[in-house]
Amino acid sequence: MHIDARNIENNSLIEGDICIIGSGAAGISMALEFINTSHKVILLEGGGFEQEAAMQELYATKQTGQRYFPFKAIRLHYFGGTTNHWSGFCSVFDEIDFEKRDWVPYSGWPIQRKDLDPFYERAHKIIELGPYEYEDTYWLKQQPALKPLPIDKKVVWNKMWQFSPPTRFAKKYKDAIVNAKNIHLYTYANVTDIQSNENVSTVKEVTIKNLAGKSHRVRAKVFVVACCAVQNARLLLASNKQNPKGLGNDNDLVGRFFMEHLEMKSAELWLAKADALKFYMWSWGTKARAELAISKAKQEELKILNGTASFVPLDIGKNEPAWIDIYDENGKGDLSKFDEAEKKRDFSNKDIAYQLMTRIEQSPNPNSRIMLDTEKDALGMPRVHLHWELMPLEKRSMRKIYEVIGKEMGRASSGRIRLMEYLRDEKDETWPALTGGGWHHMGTTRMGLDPRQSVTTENCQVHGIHNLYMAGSSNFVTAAAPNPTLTLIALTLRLADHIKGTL
Amino acid sequence: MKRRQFIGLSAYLAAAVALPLLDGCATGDNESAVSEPVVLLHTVNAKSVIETGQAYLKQFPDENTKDKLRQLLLDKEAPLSSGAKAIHEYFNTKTVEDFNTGQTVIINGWVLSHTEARQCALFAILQS
Repeated sequence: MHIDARNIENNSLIEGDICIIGSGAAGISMALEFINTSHKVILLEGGGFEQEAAMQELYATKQTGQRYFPFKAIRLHYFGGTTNHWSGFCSVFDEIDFEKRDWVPYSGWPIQRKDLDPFYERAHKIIELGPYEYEDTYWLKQQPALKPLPIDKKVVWNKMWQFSPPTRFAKKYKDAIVNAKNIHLYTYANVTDIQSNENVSTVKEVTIKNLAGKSHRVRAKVFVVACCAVQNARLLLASNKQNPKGLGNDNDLVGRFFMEHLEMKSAELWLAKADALKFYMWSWGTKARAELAISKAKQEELKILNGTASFVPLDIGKNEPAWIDIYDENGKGDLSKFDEAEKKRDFSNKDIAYQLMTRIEQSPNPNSRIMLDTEKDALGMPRVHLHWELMPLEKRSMRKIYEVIGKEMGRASSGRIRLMEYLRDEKDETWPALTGGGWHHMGTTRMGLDPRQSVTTENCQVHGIHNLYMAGSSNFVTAAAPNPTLTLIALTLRLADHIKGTL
Repeated sequence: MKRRQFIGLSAYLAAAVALPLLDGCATGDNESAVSEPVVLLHTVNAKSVIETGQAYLKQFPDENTKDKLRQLLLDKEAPLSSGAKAIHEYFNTKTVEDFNTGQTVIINGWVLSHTEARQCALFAILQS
């Protein structure tokens, strides 16, 4: 059922078994798992069912460090969250992404890829992906006309991507959620504070507020924070009545290790023989495509981060703006420059020359972080201060990725790679103006076995607080190369199973 | 070199050599063939090859003469008297070997075999 928290009596007490804070990809995935169970679920959404400027304004942030997208434009604050404008790109994390790598500080998850496999398969259904198959051989069998590049898989391999329609959670799951008898969806219910008991071992209740001036309390046996990686950290830090450092923050880790993917133009591929590279191309409706990835052995040998390269015809790619440049001073994005790039296409070097776009993990970095600003939003919550900071390892890895691909193209006599200017000088650790992310936020409540080095346990429970869980990409220890949605949903489904076992 | 790869390359080379070569830069004679990085010339253009060659000479100033480059490029097995096609094939084999053995350099952003980078340099000198 649906309740508008603006329309109930002020200072109401709402009670249930599970309180899910946030109704984006993680929150709705979690709620779906409990439909038709005996548990009463309170699902709290800060916004309504449509985008509203006043709600987006609650996400406005102060930003320092590496230039970044305007937050209030990129995360959507209403039912369905950012799935309301995501593009649907999905792939699985590799085994190496979960491992401790001695050249990647703070790497190593408390779980392995095989622990997520069954949940990845379940997550596929939620976001309407195809079969849980990520071997290139499978997809080449489905479409025999497609030809892969003649690469040595011991060095470079075809990492497969699948594409959600993309599933808009608001449209797809609103009826299921609203019609479920045991799911109580409250809109206009922004959680502004989480209160624990005196010794900060149990959450007692949360406070919700809205711009109509109403305030309510929610009590439950279990609380799941699923507000996105940035807001998850903000909420823990701002909930500081019982512990001045904030919840789960005894070791000053909440908000640190903010990670993005670097997604930017990096090189050109010039083929020796014309090839439309259809196996590697994407357009709306594509079910699966490959990107070039670097083998685990090569990553280990070169001590580099995990990343991939995708292809765009060069006569389009060279005219496309950097994603970071499409927003105006008010945070409004303008995609028309991409249309212009398409119109400017002159078909020179058609099927010969390609722009290579990097998609690479950011190395976990404690100085890349979410903090609380002194300014408060309209509900009285401290605004977020994001300090995004990159490391030399990211740039060195990018350069090495294209060296490896370049050598492989040369070995196979397929063509040649040309690095963009900013990658040519290996001593240059600066980042060019086109540097940008993939709108992906991860790592601010990282999971781990050791409370001194992590915020949540292997089951996403905040260390030391038995009934408080974090859902979503804030738990990620490393970012891997793929977009995070598939993995964060898989992790949420795993968390749902865990919570079912504890109730 | 595997037979399949060799056949593929040979067919490609035949096509490449048959091109109205390289903005009129290549003469097709044996001397010039030594300086022609066929794959690069086929995929980009002579101007880029010259720029790359000039960048190579800046990066490796010790190799800044025609004689030095010829000395580094040519060994006893080079089929200098067998015609341009044989020379191109010889250098393409060497180029692939370079990529296989890690003998690569980055010049002007291009990830190149050291052999073809030297060819670019020689090409730049000959065209200057």
